[in-house]
Amino acid sequence: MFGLKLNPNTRRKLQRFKSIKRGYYSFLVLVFCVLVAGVGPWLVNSRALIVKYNGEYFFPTLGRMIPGETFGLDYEYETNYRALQEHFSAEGKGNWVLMPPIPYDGTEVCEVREALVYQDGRYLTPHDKKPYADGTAYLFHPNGRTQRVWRVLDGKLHGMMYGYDMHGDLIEKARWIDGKLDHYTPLATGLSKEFTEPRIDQIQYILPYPNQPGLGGHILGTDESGHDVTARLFYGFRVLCIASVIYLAFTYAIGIVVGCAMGYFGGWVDMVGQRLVEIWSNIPYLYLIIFLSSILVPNLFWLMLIIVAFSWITMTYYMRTGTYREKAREYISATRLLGAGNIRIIFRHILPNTLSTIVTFIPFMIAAVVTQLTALDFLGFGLPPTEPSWGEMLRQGTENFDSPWILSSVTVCLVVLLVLITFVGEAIREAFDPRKFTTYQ
Amino acid sequence: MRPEDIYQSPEAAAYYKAHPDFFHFATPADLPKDLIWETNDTDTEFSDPQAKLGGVFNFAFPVFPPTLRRVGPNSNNSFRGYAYDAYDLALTFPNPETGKTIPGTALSWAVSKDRRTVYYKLDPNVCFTDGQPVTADDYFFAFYFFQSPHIVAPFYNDYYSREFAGITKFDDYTIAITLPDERPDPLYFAMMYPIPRQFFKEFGPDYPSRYQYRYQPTTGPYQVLDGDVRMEQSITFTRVKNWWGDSRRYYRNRYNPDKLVFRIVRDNDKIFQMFVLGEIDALDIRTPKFWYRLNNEPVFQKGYVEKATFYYEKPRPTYGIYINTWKPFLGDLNVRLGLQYAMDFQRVIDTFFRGDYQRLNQMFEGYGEFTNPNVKARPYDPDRAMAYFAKAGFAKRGPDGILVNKDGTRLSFELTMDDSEMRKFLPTLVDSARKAGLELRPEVLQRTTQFKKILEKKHDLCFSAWATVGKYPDFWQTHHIDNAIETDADGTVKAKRQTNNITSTRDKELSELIDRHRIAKTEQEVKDLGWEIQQRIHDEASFIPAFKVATYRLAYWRWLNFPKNFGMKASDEFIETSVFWIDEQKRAETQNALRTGKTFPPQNRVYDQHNSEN
Repeated sequence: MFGLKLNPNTRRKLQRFKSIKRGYYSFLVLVFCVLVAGVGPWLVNSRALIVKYNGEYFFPTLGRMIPGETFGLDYEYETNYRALQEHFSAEGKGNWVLMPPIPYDGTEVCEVREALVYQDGRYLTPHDKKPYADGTAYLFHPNGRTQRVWRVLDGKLHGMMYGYDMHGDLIEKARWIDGKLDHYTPLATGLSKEFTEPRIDQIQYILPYPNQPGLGGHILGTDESGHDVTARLFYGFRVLCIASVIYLAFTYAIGIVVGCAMGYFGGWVDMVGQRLVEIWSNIPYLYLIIFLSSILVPNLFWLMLIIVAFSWITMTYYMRTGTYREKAREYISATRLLGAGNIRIIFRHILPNTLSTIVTFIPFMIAAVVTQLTALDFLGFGLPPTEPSWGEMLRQGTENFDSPWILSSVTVCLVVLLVLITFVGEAIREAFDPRKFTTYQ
Repeated sequence: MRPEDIYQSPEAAAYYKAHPDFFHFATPADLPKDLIWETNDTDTEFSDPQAKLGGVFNFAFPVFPPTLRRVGPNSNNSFRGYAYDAYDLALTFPNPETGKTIPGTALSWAVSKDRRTVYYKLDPNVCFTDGQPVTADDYFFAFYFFQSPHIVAPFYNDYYSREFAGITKFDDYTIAITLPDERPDPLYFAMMYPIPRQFFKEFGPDYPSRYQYRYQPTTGPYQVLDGDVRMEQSITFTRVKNWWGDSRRYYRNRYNPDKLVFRIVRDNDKIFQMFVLGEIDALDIRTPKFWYRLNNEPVFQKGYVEKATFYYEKPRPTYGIYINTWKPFLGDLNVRLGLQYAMDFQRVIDTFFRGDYQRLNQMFEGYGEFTNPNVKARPYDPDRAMAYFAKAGFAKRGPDGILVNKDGTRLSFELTMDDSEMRKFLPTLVDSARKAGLELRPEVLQRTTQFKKILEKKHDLCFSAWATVGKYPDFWQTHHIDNAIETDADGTVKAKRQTNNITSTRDKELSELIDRHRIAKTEQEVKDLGWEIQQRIHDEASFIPAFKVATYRLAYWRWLNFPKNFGMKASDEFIETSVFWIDEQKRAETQNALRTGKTFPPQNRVYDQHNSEN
């Protein structure tokens, strides 16, 4: 660590950590999760891994966006690979698409459509075969745009119907009363005055968000904005990983520098430094974060910096005392006599010997930042709402108790993550505890 | 009580004397002889003659009102609609069904030749809810009251001084109200409510605190009796015995329940549960979630609770995206047209709002004949959007699929939104815009912060809405050049801050049209100019209309009865017109059925006779 050769003492501590099984395995699981999150785009993505089209191979997850035109589709925006997959397999020309295991993106809005069943003059919802009580029914153009919209009441078409062309312009209107056509008004030229009945098996309805697990291929369902919950959880975890790295890097950098300086130089540096730290630590920090993030709408980096700005303080306390203690030891005086400068003493001698403090705190710091970020997002002061985030999911979950899959999945993930981190933390604390025979309960 | 026995405030009398140019005292002989008196007693009635008086109506309300005063600090709260606006009756009214003027506390009226003065003959039977007869002096007192600084309501002070030129008393039951200038519809602008001068015996500088939780008597059918304001719990309204309106056309068979009990319940889920349990009689459901949840409730499936959807027609909140034309690229009409085609609000409506809302066509919808029906919202169409973006120089897609121009600038704008429930459909807009090569960077702020940012004209695009009121659209606030730019001392022109022209629309010709519209003298002129202005605003493309709520939806226990048309065209609130009645026999029958398990066919009715999209 820090490019230094580990002294035997530290090596012994690591050995001890390994021997604490609960903590060690938790650590391995966590490392695995982080690695998985690292290769995220190949596991959870709406872009295909490989597309074979007309003998050519494409790798959409790497590089730039590939427009639909490339694969012979009629649009120039990003290809919808799930639709392409169905299209290719229906075509049967030897083209194929390989999708990631979870073919949804964290920011993608997915809607689930189902065909209504027509039976005895009524439209029934397919899963419970009950009349579609009230709502809207659709017929779609081949390009996915709405062609006709009806209102349905108690399984019968009732109310106004509107028809649109491929470009979304209104071209026809009709009125239905109790399942019967009342009148029909074509609004564009070229439409026949005769109304053509839709093919009954083509009328669909859109299942309202949030969709329950299993519908439309969403393993854990969708949330209130139509996002796939699995993808949200996954990318939310990635955000937490990145946040932890930024947080640790900055708090440690500031905490170690300031703490070491206060402890090593002592005197007025310590005096002034301590007073400043005291003043800073008395700022009501949560309110300030809420205040700042309500006017700034920070992205992840800025949000982390705001949090860091108020969390480096604890680190300085430990580093200061650690440095004070080491500085007073005889070997430091000896090193100084040998002619070593301040820099060398701090980095070669004091830092390695305060390592245990630094390392012990890592898991608890991570747990703290995970909860803080989640709490801020939960309160609505965190990341922009389109960003995947566990806090936002928790908030949605508590607002939608009748859609329990949102709350339960994110709660389970959060609890498991925090438990794992705590296990690791306990193990590290125990391993680095100089009193070898105490047990941590 | 004889009119001369009613308390006369000496302060008010002194005030009338001090302002002889506003308060005129005349004799019946002074009344012009050539007036044409109108009564309009043949217009459509909207209540049901079968309606029965009686019963207790229970309703839930989510917050306890901060005051029961009608005006003054905090009085403009959401409960005031139920407490006053729904029951208090003015001199005349526009018929909510036909729009024509119908009599209120006046029996007949006449408009002077210069169309500035309206003469009224008052109904001598009209009383306030505390029993005090309403006479001409109560209208005089109303002006004294509204112009007084004691009410701590600068808006009213200003409105009742500026929008009226005077009031004249001919006798106790004949008055005239004069407007400052000629108006297209003087009856609408002269609409005035009497203020009970006896109740305001103690009116003075301490009005806000002295009258904090005292219910001001109205000319309507309901009063709040002593002890019926239970703090933080409920407010009960009791019907006046032998109300004067019971014998009058347009008011008979209305306001039927004996008591209206408003229970304060803070949580919407709880209100829903209380309704299902029958503790409240009706539920005004604006959120799709609860509306569809009711379908799964046995009380609905067994027919004990009925549902009704009613389409209405009145000015609506103007939900949509306001484009700040002051910002780079957004001043370009082609970019704005591209944006219009790049926002898929129809998808938001179809998915997030379950297809229950309708696309708003423009900012000034719901004003009846004053809304230009030819102005239609532009549909979502990435192809047309990209064609317009290409015209503006954004022709190539970058590696991330976002369009770039020659200089490599990406087509990317910030979309500011408030943190309400609506923020949840943002991802759909971002998603749809990306298809058209447009990047939207969402920014969610607290409502007040967002509002501040918008009024400072610092936004690119913002999603917001203005509340709309009135009979005619008001273009000046939102589209006049006077509200768009200001010039500094050193001659630099910049966006004018703190005005409602948040699109920074600064078209000189449009502003001229708006100036002419403001002083238009006939309704025809108001309509013609209005249509032209709306078309121009549509062509400017600086507002992307989002959606409107075209209906109100009510769930109610089956003992509540409604007339065959259910509601009135221009009313979005069922208590406002109060035409329902309670059938005690049906209540007993239903409660009996609940015990025995007898069921009725489920009722889910749609009244779309006023659907503007028919």
